Amino acid sequence: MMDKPTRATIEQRVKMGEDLARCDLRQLNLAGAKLAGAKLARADLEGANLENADLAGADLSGASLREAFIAGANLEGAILKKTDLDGAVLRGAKLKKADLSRANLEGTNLEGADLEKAKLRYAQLDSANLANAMLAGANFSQADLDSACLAGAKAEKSNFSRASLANTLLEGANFRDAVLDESVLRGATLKRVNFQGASLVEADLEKAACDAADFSRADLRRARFVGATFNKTVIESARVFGLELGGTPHADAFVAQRCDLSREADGSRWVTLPKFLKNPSGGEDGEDQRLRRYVGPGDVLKNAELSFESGAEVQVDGLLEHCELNMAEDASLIIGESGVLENCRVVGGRVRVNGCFLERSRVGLDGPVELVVSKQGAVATTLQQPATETQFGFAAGCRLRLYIKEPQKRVEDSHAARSN
Amino acid sequence: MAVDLALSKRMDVTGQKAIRERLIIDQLLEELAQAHPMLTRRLKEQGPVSLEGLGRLSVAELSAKLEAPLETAAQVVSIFQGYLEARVQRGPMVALLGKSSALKERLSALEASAEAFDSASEGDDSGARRRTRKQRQTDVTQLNLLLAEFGEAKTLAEIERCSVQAKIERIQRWIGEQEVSSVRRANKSSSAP
Repeated sequence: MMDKPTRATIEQRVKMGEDLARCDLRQLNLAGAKLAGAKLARADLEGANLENADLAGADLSGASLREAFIAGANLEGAILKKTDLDGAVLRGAKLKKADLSRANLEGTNLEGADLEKAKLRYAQLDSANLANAMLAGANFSQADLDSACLAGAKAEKSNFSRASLANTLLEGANFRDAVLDESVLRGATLKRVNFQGASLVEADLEKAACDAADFSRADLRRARFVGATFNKTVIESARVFGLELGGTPHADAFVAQRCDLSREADGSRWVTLPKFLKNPSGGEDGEDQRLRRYVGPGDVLKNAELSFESGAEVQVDGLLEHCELNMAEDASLIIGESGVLENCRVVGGRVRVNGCFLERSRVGLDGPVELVVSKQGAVATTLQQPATETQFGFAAGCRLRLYIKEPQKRVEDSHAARSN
Repeated sequence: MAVDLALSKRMDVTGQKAIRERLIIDQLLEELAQAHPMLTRRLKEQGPVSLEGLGRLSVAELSAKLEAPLETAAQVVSIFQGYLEARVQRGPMVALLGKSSALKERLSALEASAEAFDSASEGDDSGARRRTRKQRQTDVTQLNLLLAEFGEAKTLAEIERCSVQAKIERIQRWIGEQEVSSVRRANKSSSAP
């Protein structure tokens, strides 16, 4: 049987550039060890003491560091993909630019750790302690942070899109200019959290405690605040279209001079706080509501024939199949980023495509006044221009397979000229 | 001055008490940090605090001192006052039963919760994992608190760096050593003329 390696032999082997993959280093005392650039993929370091060790740039992917003591260690730029750090202590550790994608960090203590620009996509951080950690520019998209503590964390410009942050403690944290689109913050404590300029589009903040939270300039479109509590919550210049409050808030709930109620968050519709609070669910008056139609994400509509009158605005974030949409000349159809129109025919109207429009077998866009395709948009169809000609706007990066037919009137004119 | 020289031994005892109190406060703050990390930070920033001083503070006073809501301040007070009351209720029990017996009791609680956590970790129920992890952490804190009362700063520092399983093994060893030394002491006193 081979003897368990000692600290000295490990350091020596690392110095020689030896591959220590799958090595058994359980419970070993490696405090302060020089292990920069070590190749420790799938190594077993369960319960090891790596306090203040230098592991900068080390490859620890797939390794087990369960309940290891890694406080104050240098893990800058280290690869910790799918690493098991369950219950480990990483207090004050330096993890700048480290890759912790899909790592297991359940119950891990990362208090005061430096995770600036670290990658934590799909990481498991349930019950983790990230109090006062530096998270600026870090990517936590689709990570699971339920019941975690992020109190006092500095998370400016971080990405938490689609992350789960249910029942988290975020008191005093700074999420300035962070992206939290479609994140789940149910039951979270957001006391004195700075969300200035952050994007929380379609975020779920049900029953969150938002006392003195600052959402100035934040994008809160279609965010869900049902059952949330507010007290002096700042929403100055926030974008609030489609925001769901689920009740009438009390007088001291919000602080703001004005909010942006425009659908595209382009500042085209500013309203005062009292006006927003009068109808927080949509902020639209009766006439507007009559003219606006919305097909939400996950909604599917098949074989329908729909007509929209003058001034109507239809937004599709769901799926429409084999539908016919007859639009008045100044009616607008907006296909959102998640919207798809497949084998549909749209007659007339102003069409803006941020999602997909696919109709390859026949004329899909018949006589639109305007067609604008954003850089995320994709259009594959035949477009028949109206007599007045369609106005086109294509953003760089959009995907087009578009056959544009000349206005029929001109075709008829040319036929007439030929016959003459 | 003469009094100071005369009480050199007593001053040492007081010093031991201060060390123990510092360790106890550290453990209680650790417990508080689990629910209110920001408050713990603010408390630490206020400078050295005494156990009696914290235990004597009213909810309103603490709320004003830490700029925290009354509800939160009440939780903090309950942690410190709760600990002091429990210690009073326990009275000289530890002294009578010995350190080993008291530690054994807390260790068996930790062993049970560690086992519950291990079985929960094998399943997919994240709620069960969360609950058992919390219980295990509470039991670790309780064990640490007792070691703090005993003034075991070295052991506390040592087990802080260990996994839970290693902590359990270390404490088992510690209990064994305590028992051996108490047997030796008993033998020594019985053989004395």
